[in-house]
Amino acid sequence: MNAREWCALTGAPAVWAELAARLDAVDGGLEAVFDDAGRAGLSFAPDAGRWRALRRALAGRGAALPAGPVPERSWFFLEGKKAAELWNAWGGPSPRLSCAAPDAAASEGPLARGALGCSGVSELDALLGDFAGLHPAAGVLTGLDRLEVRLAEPAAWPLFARTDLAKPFAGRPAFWARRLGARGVSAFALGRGRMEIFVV
Amino acid sequence: MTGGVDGADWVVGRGVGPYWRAVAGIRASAAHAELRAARDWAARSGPESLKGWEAERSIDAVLDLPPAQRDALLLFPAMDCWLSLTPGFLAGARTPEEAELHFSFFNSFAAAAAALSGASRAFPVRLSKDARFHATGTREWFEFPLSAAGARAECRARAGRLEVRLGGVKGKPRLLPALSAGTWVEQRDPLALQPVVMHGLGKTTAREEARFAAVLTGAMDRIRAVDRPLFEEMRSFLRLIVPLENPKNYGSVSSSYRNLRGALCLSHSEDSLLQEETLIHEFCHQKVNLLLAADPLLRPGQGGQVVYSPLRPDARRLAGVMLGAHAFINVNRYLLRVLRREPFPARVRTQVQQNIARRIFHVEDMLRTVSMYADLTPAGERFQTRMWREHALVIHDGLDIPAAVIEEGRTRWRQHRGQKALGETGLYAEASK
Repeated sequence: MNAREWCALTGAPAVWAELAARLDAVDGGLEAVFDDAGRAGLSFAPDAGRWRALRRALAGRGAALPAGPVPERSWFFLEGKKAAELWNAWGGPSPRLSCAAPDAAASEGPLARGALGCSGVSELDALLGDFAGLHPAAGVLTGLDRLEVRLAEPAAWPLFARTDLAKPFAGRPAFWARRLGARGVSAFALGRGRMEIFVV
Repeated sequence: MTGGVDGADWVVGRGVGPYWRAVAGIRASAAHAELRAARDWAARSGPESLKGWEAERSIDAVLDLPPAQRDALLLFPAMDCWLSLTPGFLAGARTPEEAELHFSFFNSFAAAAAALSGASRAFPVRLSKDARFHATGTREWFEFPLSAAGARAECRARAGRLEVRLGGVKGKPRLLPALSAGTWVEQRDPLALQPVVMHGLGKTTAREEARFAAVLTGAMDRIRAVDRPLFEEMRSFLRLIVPLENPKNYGSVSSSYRNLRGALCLSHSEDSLLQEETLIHEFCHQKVNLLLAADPLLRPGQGGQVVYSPLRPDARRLAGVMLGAHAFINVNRYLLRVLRREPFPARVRTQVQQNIARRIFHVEDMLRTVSMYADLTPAGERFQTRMWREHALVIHDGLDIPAAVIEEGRTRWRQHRGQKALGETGLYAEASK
């Protein structure tokens, strides 16, 4: 989605609109991220220029970029004018997640083999397996207490919302339907007692 | 899924993947067989006069192209039309003079084949009644003095270059205006234009033609930005855009023809969004016409069934209602995406929303009628089920349309239905009187 769409979808304060516009250099480059509490954020695939823009924008807004190479994808949640919970996904043969928080070292989790349904938690495996039957996954990222599944192709929100996996969002169906329309969910993440969705 | 035809994957843009290539390949294979049959007929049963036009050799020149070039030429809209007329000759229903005319014009494709393959060849060609020769399947055409109309000229091909001569006169080489590398504006080639009868052909000056192409180029650019998979399909299959006249100054007139797959006809408008809508609408008809080459969607025996259409004052065939639903699902989907991507003046935004709102009810009505009355093939059932789903997604995407606008759309649809439909059925009221 472009910056205009992202701003409309997330209801982001104006201070973030400028950053979104700067990051919106490549068509379709932005994603909105939501958690099941209704918190919104920005997700995008940075290049060096976008990474610099993000670094400048975040300075003094509650988050700082970690050292290291430009990641494959970066996202953060909005808390008004502050940024919270900055996350980055690095590329490489074994993708992994890292939290910017200093006590959260990056690591590979048991699902790094890339297959759904092998978490070792039978209920979760069953949920993920059923979900994959409806919406095949393109890849799985794990680390620490978080699992992210990127879908082979975005699932329209009304179709994503019908799945058992989307239960954390099921309490407010009209709220989410109005907010997301039929936009595509490109990925979801589970962990730390909540669920996040990435929307294109 | 049977015979490689899914149906569900044909409803909205999915890009040029294996499924698209499989369906296009089915049509190309059928065209290949039809052309081979035409060649055999020309060799064994055709009138003697065909030899003077080197009919067999010309058809062989197309059939012998490398598969990618051959299939592109077999799927070219004018070839679709030429092949659709050929069975009449093979059945002996046409005169030898008509056969000579038909097969002599095939050399336009032979010229294209020579240009594409780089082959060296000299062969006779027939100039059109406007004294032009078209290397049909390429952008090239040649202009002669009007006195040469219908004359027999000679085309010489060498290393991919063409030259056309009539005695000592060399045809002036011209190029069709291009929207992109493979999509051109066509308003002259009789092989491409002969089925275009629904609306009058546009007669544009060079400047008007350039403007027509410029607006459409901009329209295609936005389609690419908003719906890349659909754009990829259009770029792959859409070869010709034919300008139409719009004498009554309707918003837009447009048409597609079942035997001219890969060409769509529309009038000029400076309104890019309107052109995008028309391109998508007509391309959807092109897509279904291509799919019909692989699967009829409706089981045989329902061709004559007419039903109420919310889009027209008269009754429409069941298949036409299905095509209408398909086209407007895609148009609604596209317009909603454009509205959320870009700023528009409030008045324009409301107008677009009004159109979407009305069509949401039109689509629902048409889908209901198809579900009520059509006996569908398995692929047709999958196509119909997916149309319902995509329509449902449009309804979700349209949640931000103001309720009053939705109600206005509902009222206008209900009024039309009250006048034209038989109660709550899908039947046209007057047909029952």
